[in-house]
Amino acid sequence: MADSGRTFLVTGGTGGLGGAIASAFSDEPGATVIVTGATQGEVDAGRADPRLSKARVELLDVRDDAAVHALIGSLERLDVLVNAAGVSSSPADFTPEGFARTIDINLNGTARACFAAKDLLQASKGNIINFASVQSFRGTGTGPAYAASKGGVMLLTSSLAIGWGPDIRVNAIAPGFMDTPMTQNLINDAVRSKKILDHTPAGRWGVPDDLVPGAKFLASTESSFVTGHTLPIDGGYLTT
Amino acid sequence: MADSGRTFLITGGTGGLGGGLAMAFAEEDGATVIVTGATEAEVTAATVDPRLAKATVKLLDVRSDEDVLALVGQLPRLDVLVNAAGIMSSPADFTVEGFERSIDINLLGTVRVCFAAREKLAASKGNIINFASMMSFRGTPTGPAYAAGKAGIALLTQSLATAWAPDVRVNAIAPGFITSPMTLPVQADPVKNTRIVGRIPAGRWGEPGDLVSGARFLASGESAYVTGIILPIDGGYLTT
Repeated sequence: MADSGRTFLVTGGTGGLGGAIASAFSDEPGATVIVTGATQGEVDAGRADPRLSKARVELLDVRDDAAVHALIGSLERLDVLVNAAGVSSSPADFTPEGFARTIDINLNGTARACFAAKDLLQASKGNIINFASVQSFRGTGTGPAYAASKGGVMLLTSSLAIGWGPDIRVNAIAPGFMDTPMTQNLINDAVRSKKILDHTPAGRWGVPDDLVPGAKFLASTESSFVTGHTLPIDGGYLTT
Repeated sequence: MADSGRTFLITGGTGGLGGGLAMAFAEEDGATVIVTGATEAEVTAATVDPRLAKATVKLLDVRSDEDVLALVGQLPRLDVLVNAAGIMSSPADFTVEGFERSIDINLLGTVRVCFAAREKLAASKGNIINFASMMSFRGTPTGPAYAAGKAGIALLTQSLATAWAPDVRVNAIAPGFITSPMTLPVQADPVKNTRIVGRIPAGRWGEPGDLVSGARFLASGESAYVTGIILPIDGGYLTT
């Protein structure tokens, strides 16, 4: 009962984490994989990225509801939606404009893609994988907007699972501290990096491929009794 | 990088849920699977159970530390320990003796096997899958001992994950309402059954097979960055 012939849409799939998942899904027999990047620069880089050689790369700013509808409306079918588009925490999290912007991308952007994809996912009995975070569960002194948005993504996930069950399953993954282009500053900061590793039982930063088995599990029809769950892939960070 | 040649010990593996996992793990290349039952009757029934045709069946009461140490001690190696041995909630949960018995089996029984298996699992860089429950997260008016035991298992799981990392991963699954010999009376009660199914976004009872993909995921070497998690396989019950 292996899955095949499915269509995957991975928003933010040009990035470090979304790209690893898009690459893994494109190995499924007969898969069609569409990934999006928020800027022309990311799209151009995505088209040259060997991980995405089997994927179609599109421009999408998830803040633009019309663009979200246009992209999803152009799909013939959709089996799995992965909402990986998002921004990290930053000093701007402490300004009203920066806060609103992060919420608009991470939380509202996820909601926009979910809402636009509902009919196609209903038709395919498909599923959604949102990007939560260890910061869905823990506050952070450096990113109130990020944490608030990721907390929201987690409860959006469980709420849509109730609202759209049993036809559509809605789950999330909660990555821990991952080694990606977005986190290089943190990794290179010896003090903060040590603090993070001291709280990670696995004793190392995660790599994008660490997310793949969990995402495959949630996307698979074999996990048909799993919905509304936020799955940590964090080296044990949330245990303490 | 498929796993192979691993040894699995499944306490309570003669039962409905543990037996489903034992059957699945027995299909792994070169697997050795040992299951246990708490009584001679369970062991005898298991020897003719087609699900357990490839498994070795042993008698083990997890209340006996001596027996636990003897059984684990005789294994040449151990890669995956599944603690499925346990009892349901019952009216005895409201008596001191009944409460103590339930905790002794469900919580201390899990602890005994974890402690006994630690060295072998450290040697194999193995992992543990404990049986939590929805009642690890929600109280129940019919089973205070059951809920308290399962809540204890959730925090035991997280604590051992932290303590034994990075060599031994420790996770749990939290099954929802799953059809099994143990739950037939509930399913047969129309009032209880309607109330339960009405709260499950998936709109159905789970089957023992629904636990397989989640248990495989956690047991797999591919989920190396996942430790200390409690994975609900509950049709979304915990979302509400």
